Amino acid sequence: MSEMRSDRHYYVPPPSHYPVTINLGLFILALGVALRINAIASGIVPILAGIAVVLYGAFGWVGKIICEDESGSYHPWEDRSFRIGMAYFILSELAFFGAFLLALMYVRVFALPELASMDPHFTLWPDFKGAWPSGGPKSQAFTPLGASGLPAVNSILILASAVSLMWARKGLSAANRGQMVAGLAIALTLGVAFLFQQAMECRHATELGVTLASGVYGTYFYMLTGVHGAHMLAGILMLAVLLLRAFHGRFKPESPVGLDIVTWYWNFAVVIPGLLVFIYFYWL
Amino acid sequence: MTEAIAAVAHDRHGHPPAGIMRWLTTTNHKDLGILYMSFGGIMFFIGGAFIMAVRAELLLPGLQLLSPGMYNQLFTLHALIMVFGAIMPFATGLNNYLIPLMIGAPDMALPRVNNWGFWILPFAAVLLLIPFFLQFSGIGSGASGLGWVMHNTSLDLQSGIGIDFAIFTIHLLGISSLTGAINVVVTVLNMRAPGMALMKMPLFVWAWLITAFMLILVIPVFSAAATMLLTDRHFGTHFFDAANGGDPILLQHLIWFFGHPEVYIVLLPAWGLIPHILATFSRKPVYGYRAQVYALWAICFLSFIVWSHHMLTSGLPLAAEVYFMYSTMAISVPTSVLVFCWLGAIWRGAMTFETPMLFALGFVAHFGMGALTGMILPDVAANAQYHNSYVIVSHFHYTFFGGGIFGMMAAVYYWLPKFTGRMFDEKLGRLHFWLTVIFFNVTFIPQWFAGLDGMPRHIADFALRFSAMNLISSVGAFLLGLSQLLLVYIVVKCVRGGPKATGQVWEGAQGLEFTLPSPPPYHTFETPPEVK
Amino acid sequence: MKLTGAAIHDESAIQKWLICLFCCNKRHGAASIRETRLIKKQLPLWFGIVFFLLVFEPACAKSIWDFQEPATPVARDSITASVDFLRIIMGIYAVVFAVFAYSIFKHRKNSGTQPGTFTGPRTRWQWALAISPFLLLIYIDYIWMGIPAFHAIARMEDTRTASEMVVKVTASQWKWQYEYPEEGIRFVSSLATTQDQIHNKEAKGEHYLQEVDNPLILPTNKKVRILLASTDVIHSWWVPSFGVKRDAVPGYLREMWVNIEKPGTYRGQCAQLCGDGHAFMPIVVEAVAEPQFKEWVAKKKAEGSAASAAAGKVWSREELMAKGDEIYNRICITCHQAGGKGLPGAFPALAGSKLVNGPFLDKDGRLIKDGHLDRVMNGKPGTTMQAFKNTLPDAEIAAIVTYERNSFGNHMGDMVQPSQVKALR
Ligand code: HEA
Ligand code: HEA
Ligand code: HEC
Ligand code: CUA
Ligand SMILES: [Cu+2]
Repeated sequence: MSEMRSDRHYYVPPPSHYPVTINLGLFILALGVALRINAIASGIVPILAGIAVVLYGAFGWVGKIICEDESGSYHPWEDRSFRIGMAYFILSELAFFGAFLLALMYVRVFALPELASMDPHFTLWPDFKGAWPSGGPKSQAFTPLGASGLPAVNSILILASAVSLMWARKGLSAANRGQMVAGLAIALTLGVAFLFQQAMECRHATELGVTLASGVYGTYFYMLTGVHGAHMLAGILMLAVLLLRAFHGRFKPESPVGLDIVTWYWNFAVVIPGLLVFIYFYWL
Repeated sequence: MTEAIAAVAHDRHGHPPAGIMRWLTTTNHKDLGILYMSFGGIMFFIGGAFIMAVRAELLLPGLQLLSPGMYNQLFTLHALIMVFGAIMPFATGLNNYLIPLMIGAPDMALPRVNNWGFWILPFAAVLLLIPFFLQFSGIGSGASGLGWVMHNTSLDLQSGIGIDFAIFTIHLLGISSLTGAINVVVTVLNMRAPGMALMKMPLFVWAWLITAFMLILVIPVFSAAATMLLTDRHFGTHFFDAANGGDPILLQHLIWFFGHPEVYIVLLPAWGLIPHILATFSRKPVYGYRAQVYALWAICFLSFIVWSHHMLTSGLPLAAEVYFMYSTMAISVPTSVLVFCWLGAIWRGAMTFETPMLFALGFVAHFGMGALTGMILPDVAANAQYHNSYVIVSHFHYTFFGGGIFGMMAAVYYWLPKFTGRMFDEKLGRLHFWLTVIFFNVTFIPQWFAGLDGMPRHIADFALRFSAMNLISSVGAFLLGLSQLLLVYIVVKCVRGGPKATGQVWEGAQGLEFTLPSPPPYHTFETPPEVK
Repeated sequence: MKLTGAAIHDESAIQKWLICLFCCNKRHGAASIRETRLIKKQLPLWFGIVFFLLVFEPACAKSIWDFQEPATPVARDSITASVDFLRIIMGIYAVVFAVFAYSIFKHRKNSGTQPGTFTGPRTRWQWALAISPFLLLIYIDYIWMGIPAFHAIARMEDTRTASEMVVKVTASQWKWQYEYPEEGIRFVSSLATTQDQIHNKEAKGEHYLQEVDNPLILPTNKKVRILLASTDVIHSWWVPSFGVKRDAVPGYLREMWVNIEKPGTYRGQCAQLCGDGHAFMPIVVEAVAEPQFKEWVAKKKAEGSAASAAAGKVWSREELMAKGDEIYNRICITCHQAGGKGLPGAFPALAGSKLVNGPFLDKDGRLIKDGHLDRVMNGKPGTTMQAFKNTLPDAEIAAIVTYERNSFGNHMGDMVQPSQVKALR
């Protein structure tokens, strides 16, 4: 480990107001949403203000990190912190997705069969069969979504984006800026295409009658794709920042940490959950 | 070494900004540690004040002070504040202050993230309490009254804004816990001084590493469950609605998958501390270091696979009941490894009984009771009687207060001289200990018997057969609360002044943090010390 | 220890202990710091007394360590498990704490002990000593207590074998509905304690908060299978003497069974936080011998046919008002409060309510959506206002709506007939 401590000083950043600013923004945002969904106030002002403050804080913070990086504050020792931090953050993201996926499993394996298999003399839901896909005894009718169309294409898209990111990473190692920029750009495009297609898929779903009113089926469809989409969006933002910096030639092969941790995020918090959703929601 | 540190400190960063801005923007682990600990301390008193109203209502049968709705809000807030506002932040403060000192690091690995994690807490606390106060001006129907883990399908239980505020509070708290946990993991894995091998780390650091690991895995599940509840309440999803294929019990599974590890998250830091304190005042090395590390990992692992022992009456299938009973019982093995290591730590020592030692021994005695009562709870046949009765309330206050709070108090007294550079008033400290021990037991022993006799928890009013026990318990609780004011006095007095503490503080104290002066300079170990 | 009224039974061990604790305090002055040492010296004595009480008190006939008196096989299983397990853990605690205490009193600095330097067991003998507690724990968990526990669970969960009768219990906020499907009997059971007693305006009765208007009647010595359902949130049906507690989960069925051995009245209450009225949701079961049970069934059935006959007849205004008054004060008052005043923020006032003072049938005689009768019959989904057509007979709904329209300062002057309600179901 000691070989990483080139100058044996760890960079401890000076006082910063960004974290507390973000917290203020989150607070206002939460307050606004809570008031709005309870129809106490329109809440639109605090919601927008909250988002603005959070964005200001987040961009300021990330900008600060980039400045520090470029002014040479970071060394392998600090880089290692970022890597470990990102690894464990991804672990927590997986736990978050895991909760939704396991909840889906619970519904398919336990809840629906139980609803259907109550003692025949006293059942609460006569005639309910409980086989997945189903929205539960009282849900509106719908046609389940197939796996082979858009969803399959989409899965291939994000797999390809993972590959192209790795290709970009190779480009950085080989100090090939063109390859890096191209790889990033391809991944970004694929990500955006995925999001767009997913929006189409949602429209298609409503046409098939899959809405929130179609019970657990609709619920899990929109929640899983929604949560995944939100992570996708975050990943796309990160890629965009990287692309911009790569374009301006701000990366050095000896400090690939920014590219690396975003790649991890993309591969593990976006691509893998996406595939899991595909396998467990659409396919099986 | 210290002069070198001070010199480096000044030319690198200059002085921190003055006044409130220093605290708002600080990235210094000691500042943040102090902030966390003060916040935890204040919240302990707020949470305690809420439950005093509850105990006052339960003093006598009949409704005297509170409406049932208000009662539900008060114990819910009490529990949320005590667990997420008092114990967890206090333990996080300790890790902030101490881990860098113990492993010879210049600071936490991600100092700005550290600030983020702390300053979200006051906002979260305000958010939680807003609906509680709004109801007095006629807006909304008050704060959440669902209990700390939202046992029930809140959808029909309570309308109004309280639950939504609680859900957002959970999200904010989630950010705080997660950032704090990631920071600990990164610091421990990346910032140890050369020579500080993992298996040389102080047990407190180990315990926190494992706690952080648990937090990273379960906090997101809690957030996910809260999110599902929110969308079910307001956006038309059907996670917990049977008519549409959902299941209210799913909520309990998700929440207890978080909630069970959570109780160990609360206690692990204290388990890490106790061996230090026992060793110091026995003037002996830590006993069974490896055994304790492995036992902590075993507890961590087991805690993920036993959650449904909180739901044994919810109608699980027979096989599940048997599985969760046996797996839960397994936790007694690693936990008793810890207990016997504590015994080994004092055995044939040269003990003295300063206040921290008293609290550490009090911890052992009371945690022992709480844990042993925990051992019988998973017995499914008997659990049908224990569940949701005051037996449970008694059990978990023995672990939370008798364990968690006694542990934190031991830490306060043990490290206060280190933090402030002053000794506290030893005699008052001992008095505080004895008052706490006595009234703690007077409060919670009767609850055990009320529970055995059939008193359910969460009730604002009770049948006459439970009167006697509740009377004793309430009186005990008031006196317990009053004796805690002594703690405030002791801490304030110590901060204001007192005999100077040496760097070593306690005769038998060991560890890197005791090689520094008391209080330690603002920046420490900027050049990592060499650990042999 | 059994307590009746607020009277404190003076045999109670815990009180002996408390008295002892406070007396010691007074005599030696706990507050005086100079004497903390003295207290420390007393400590073994204290603990000795406590342990004596804790370990030997259970040997007495009716102990505070027991649950309420068991009345079913399952309850006996649970009480055995509990008492045995409690003895075991108290034994463990006593032994381990004794070793701690020994060390605390012997290995002190001022008694001149040289601190040891060992950090783990070394000799074979020490290793054996270190391992044995875990073997013992495993033996306790998985054999000594584990095997009987397994049998007890298997018995507890076996709801169907040889069950002779079914009762369906439906929970809703904050009352229980009991149904005997084979007999076609159905009734609602809710708290009978008056609001005045709860608010300390009246002396509390012996069964304060544990009394209901219509208790569940069960035959003794018969295996009764109980099905549990809920209409709103999770409740939990708990009668300590039966050793069963099981959640009633909305949308799902849960089951359990009882086989009551002795006739008598058994009391319990809801054991899952279910909202504001959670403390006011008692369960009373009256167990009677088979012949009396049969009699009761016959009587109930006769009442049932009388009620449907009542639904057929035309009721007078006075009859409706009287009946309505009774039902209101039994059922609706928990939420809408006395005088229909409601609880601001939680339950709307009925006095002066737009809905109550509005029309309830359209010109074709159909229910007006969100009209008064519709609200009472069908409730409002998503709130605690439930569909009372599921639990109340036609006559009662008619009576109560009539009553509300003509009380609390509402003067609509109209009435609803049971036959109308019947037609609108
Ligand atoms: C760390 C956690 C923690 C701590 C420290 C405590 C501390 C205390 N708790 Fe806690 N409690 C919980 C966690 C905790 N509790 C949880 C998780 C629940 C479950 C909630 C649920 O079911 O959802 C619960 C529920 C709970 C109940 C059950 C409510 C019910 O089910 O109806 C009761 C009842 O007696 C109770 C009592 C107390 C008391 C008397 C203290 C005392 O130890 C408090 C002592 C401290 C003070 C009193 C503060 C200091 C003093 C002052 C502020 C000065 C003013 C003093 C006076 C006016 C006298 N608690
Ligand atoms: C810090 C908190 C903490 C800790 C450490 C524990 C520890 C344990 N708990 Fe507890 N528990 C809670 C906090 C805690 N619990 C809370 C808050 C609740 C209620 C939540 C709610 O419903 O609101 C609860 C509820 C709860 C239940 C659910 C009851 C119900 O609602 O029906 C169960 C069931 O199995 C249980 C079991 C256990 C077990 C097996 C342990 C084991 O870890 C114990 C293992 C330890 C031992 C077996 C002791 C070993 C020691 C020795 C051998 C020697 C000791 C002697 C001396 C020291 C003298 N707990
Ligand atoms: C568990 C609590 C509860 C009980 C018991 C209860 N109600 Fe209600 N009631 C409510 C709530 C909550 C509402 C408000 C629903 C809404 O949001 O519109 C309500 C609304 C009403 C309304 C409409 C009032 C208005 O102005 O909007 C009427 C009429 C009414 N209830 C009648 C009754 C009658 C009759 C009974 C007894 C047979 C009864 N309620 C029992 C909780 C209860
Ligand atoms: Cu029903 Cu509590
Ligand atoms: Cu648990």
